Amino acid sequence: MSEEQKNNIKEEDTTEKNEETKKDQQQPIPAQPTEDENEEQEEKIEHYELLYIVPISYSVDELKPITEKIIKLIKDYNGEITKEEDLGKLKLAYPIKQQSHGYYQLVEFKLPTNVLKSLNESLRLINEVLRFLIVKKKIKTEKELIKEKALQDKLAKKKEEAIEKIKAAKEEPKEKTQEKDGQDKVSLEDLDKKLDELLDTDDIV
Amino acid sequence: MAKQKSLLENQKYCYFCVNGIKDIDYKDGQLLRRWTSSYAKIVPRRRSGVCSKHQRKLAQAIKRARYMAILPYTQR
Repeated sequence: MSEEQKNNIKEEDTTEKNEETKKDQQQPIPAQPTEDENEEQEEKIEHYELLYIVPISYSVDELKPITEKIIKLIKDYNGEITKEEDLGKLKLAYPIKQQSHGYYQLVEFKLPTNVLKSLNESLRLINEVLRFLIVKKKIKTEKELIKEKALQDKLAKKKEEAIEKIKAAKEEPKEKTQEKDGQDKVSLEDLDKKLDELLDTDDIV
Repeated sequence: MAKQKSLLENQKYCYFCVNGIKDIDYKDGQLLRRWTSSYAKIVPRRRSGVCSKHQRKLAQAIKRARYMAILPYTQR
């Protein structure tokens, strides 16, 4: 009896899960503003990073509505904003439209891949934006973060060791040359030869 | 001594491998400037010593930085 009961419970669980997954699948589809329904069934969400330049001819007060406008635009395309950053007023490496300075604004967001094209297009039509660039950005998973940490630790250790080696190598020849100077006045040529020998041996070791 | 000097000068290493940098950020203009020549060209691998994997990423980053006016295309 107990086994049967368990089986029953299991079946119930699976049915519930199925229903849930169905719901999950159903939810995003009606929320889509775009027309192509066939492509949307297998939609992917990517993490992107947008950097754009607003020319300095706009004052800081005028900048705020522009940033809000762009963020609203991304949200309209079902984007989820994860980070906003003001990189400040920077000098452009070359003038763009007779502007030599600009405000650099950074936005990170998640966006369905199929909407990216239209977002690009609508950003291009915003006159306040001098230039913009959308780049895919990988989000590091926990495993990758742990791996990176381990790597950094290793590298730090290696660096310390290398620095110690260099220090040791620097100190040794100095002491020896000083000793020699103290003992006798050796001619420069002899010193050079001996130094060469010392260095050579060090390299082999 | 001449040999020694040349050996020391030829000690090339990949900056990104040594420092464990996986993704090169195109927004860091000051860092990227290290791998551009005085005419703002991308320095070849044989000169900078960057490994091929990172050279590809570096070139991509420099080109993006140029587009966003973080780095110049040419130097006057």
